[in-house]
Amino acid sequence: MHQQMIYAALRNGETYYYTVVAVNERNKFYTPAPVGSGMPVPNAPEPATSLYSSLVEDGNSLNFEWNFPLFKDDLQAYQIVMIPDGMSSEAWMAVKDSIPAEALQVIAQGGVGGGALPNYTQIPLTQLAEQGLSPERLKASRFAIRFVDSQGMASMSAPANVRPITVAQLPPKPTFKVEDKPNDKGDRLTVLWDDPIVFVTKTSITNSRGNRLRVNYQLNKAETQKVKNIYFEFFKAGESQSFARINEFYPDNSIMLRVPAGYDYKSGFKVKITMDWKPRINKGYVIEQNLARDDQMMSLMPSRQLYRNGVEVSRLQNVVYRKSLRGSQFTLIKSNTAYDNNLDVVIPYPTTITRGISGFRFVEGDSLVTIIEGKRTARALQKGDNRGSFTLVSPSIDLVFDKEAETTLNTTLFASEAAKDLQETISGLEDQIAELNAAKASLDSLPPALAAAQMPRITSQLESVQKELAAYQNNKYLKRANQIKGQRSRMRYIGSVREPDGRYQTYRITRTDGRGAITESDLDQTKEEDFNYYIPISNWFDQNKWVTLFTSLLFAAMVFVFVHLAKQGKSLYIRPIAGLSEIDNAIGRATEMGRPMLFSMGNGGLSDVATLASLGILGLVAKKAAEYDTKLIVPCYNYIIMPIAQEIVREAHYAVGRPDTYDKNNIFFLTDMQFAYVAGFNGIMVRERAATNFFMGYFAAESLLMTETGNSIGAIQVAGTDAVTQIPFFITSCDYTLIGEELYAASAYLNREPMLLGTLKAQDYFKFLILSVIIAGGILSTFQITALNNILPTK
Amino acid sequence: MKKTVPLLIVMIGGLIWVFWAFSPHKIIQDDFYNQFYLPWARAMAPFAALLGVISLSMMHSAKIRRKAPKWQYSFFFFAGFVVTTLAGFIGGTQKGGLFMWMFENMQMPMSSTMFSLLAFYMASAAYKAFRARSLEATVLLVAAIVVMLAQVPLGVKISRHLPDISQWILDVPNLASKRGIALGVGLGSVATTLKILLGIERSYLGGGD
Repeated sequence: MHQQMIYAALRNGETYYYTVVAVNERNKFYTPAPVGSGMPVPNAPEPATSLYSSLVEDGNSLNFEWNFPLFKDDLQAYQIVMIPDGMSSEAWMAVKDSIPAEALQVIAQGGVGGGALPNYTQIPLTQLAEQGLSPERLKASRFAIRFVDSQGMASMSAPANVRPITVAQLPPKPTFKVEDKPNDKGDRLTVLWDDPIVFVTKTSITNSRGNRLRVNYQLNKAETQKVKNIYFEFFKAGESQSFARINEFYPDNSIMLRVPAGYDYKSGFKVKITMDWKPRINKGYVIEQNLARDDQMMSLMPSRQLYRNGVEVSRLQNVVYRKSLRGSQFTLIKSNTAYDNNLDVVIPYPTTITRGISGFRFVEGDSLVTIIEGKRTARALQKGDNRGSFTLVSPSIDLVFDKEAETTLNTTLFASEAAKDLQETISGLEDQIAELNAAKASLDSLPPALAAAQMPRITSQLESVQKELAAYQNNKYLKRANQIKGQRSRMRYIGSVREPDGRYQTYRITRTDGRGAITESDLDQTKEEDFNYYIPISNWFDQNKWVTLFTSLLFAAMVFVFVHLAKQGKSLYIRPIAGLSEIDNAIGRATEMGRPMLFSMGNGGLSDVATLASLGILGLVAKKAAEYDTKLIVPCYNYIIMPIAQEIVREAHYAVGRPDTYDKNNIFFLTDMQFAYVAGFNGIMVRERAATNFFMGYFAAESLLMTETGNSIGAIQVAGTDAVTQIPFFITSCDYTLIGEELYAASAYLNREPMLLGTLKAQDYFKFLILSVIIAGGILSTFQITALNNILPTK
Repeated sequence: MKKTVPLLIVMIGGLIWVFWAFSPHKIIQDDFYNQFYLPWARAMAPFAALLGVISLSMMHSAKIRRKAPKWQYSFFFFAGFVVTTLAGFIGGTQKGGLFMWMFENMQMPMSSTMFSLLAFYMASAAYKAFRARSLEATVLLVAAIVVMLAQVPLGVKISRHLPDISQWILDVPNLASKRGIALGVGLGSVATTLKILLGIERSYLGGGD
């Protein structure tokens, strides 16, 4: 059974009809399934799964925190109500959804935004005192939360008692900073609220005597945080003097602990973790955990508690909220555990614009019918009218957020319509102002009390519309966009303005125990009380690759030096490679036997270095073959390589003065299916009774199938590949094998060209350099000096 | 000239890819790679496939024309080619059509047959490799027996240390040699790339000056 969720605004009580039509890849529509129907009926939302209340008397606050039900998308608002005195929990549960709203005292309400808005509220006690609710009264009260959905349906939660706590019991106030994620394309920011966190994840005994313990740990840190050393101090249960201090100078998520003689490790340990790191956020930062025997795991495992600077934090959650420049409210990004110290926030580049369908246009008989917003118009078809059927969407596009007017300004997609569109918008706003002024004037005729009540709303609306009008008239971005006449350049400009404008965000963190003990971070604001907004930066250079760049340049320099030396005639010794020395003999054997040779370039593409190297060898083999007039068959796996191989062989024949012997049909595309290629290649090998086989390039599972067949017919086989998994097969079944880099060196080795030999020599020296770094790194690491290790890239 | 222009294209293209490797910037990763390079690469593939089809057709038609040995088999190529193409174009390539039926009931079993032969070839290759003709071959034989035995319950019955020894063989000498090869391959790749970028290695360009 397949299910498809359809997002549409349905009207309650109206019947909707559905069918399913299968469409194949060629756009053929099959017979529709029998039509089914359904009628949307509103139902009440699920109630909150839990509600917690904390009274922080010395903090002047009554906190409520709740959990949303699983389906929360259509929840719109909440109300915190006080349960009538004397009503038992059972009685409340029986009447909670039927009790009239007016019968309950609402002490707080707000938006829910489908579960995206904060799931807590903090009500000042002074405000509650105005409603006659003293702290003593609150302590004796119980509360419930009512969720209201988009249909106006509501549901009430179970009752919650008030938990009196003090400010000292609240979680520590979170401080945070927002950083650009380094080395990315500019679509991520890091919200960082704590120092790196190290914690033990598990332990395991590594010997039968039970005195060697492997302790696995995890280090959570942001990319910008550098941890140099981690110090683990281990304490026996109940002791304050540590028996072991381990300096983890290169974090690899594992340390070895020797259990003191005579101590039963099953009694457990306490571990205290400190670090050397930068940049620091907190001073005197210590993490502590207890390791206790876990019978199921048959080892010591960390207990649930995690102490940071002596405070138990394992239950705390750091909830990150954000607000975009254009938005008005903070919305939830993620609730993080106490084991996280940062959150990567993805702020993608906009790639799509979503608009609701506003109408349809189609041809009916000889009329062109347009339906917009349910209004149907028709006119006679005219010459040049497009007869296609179209779905219509609004051409309006958001351009920029105007801070003064606190609104996003829109414009049209079409340059030719821009001035007219702006004028219409301005006229519409002017009409609104006139209407509001009229409404304001009409207040004089109302009783003074009613007029006074309505005046602030109308004044506020009037101010808002006036600001919006001013924005449409004066905004510099809109003005500039409307000055550009060219459609493409105007869209480019609109894109350059709206893309960053829609990506600015500000953040806030709430730290909670999940039960109403809530501490909010300070608002990230400027002195003018405007929010600090952040946008990710697209980085031009990956800072992790400085060493790679440097070594690449060093290698290039070495190549230049050795090529220069080779050009000057300096003799460069190249170690003999048996597989390459034997190529001549292999060709000679085929010539003597009067049988053809087969050359396979493997299943790699032109972007594989092994394939490029094999093309070089093909040229040299083809030259010899042409010289000795020996048939060379090259079945290609890749159709892009085939014409190149043909050209190489043709050139080889011309080079030795035998163009007449070149047959294009000997170099052909066989297939790009792995095992079909094997079947074809083996078939040719057996039918043609090949005397010599060359396997040069990248190979996979087909290697042994081909070389064993060659072996069975007694062909001499020379193979070369950089596929590590296939080298053993080649070594076993071929006469000569070029291992890894020898394949790349073949062209230079056989050609003996100074330029190519120079690169080969540089390669050898560079390999020596790498070996030296490996040895130096090993020695330095032994002495706990990790500077060399740390500068080398890890990926 | 015939080589200078392609060489220039290779060099400029190569430098763009060097830049791509070092720069995470949106212009390189998104605008160039995702929105320019990938669509072009996808668009070029069918034209290259056409080259392959033409080559194969020419080779087989020449075989038939010349009455080369086993020339009759070439008719199978044309028959297979025409039937598969028509099945794909007329009935589509999705499940339920003739094309997918042929793929599942002809192509797949034949490929599986070829692949299953690998087990027998491995046995014969192993026989050749494990003959204790020299000291090195004997070491190989012993190592192979230890690693193979450690994979089965019998190995632990023989000695409880066998899995540890096997793991050590895989983690230390085996991994060291694999990394040695990988190091050489990596360096060789860079060297070859550099040779191509600098125009030192030109064999991939084919013939002509």
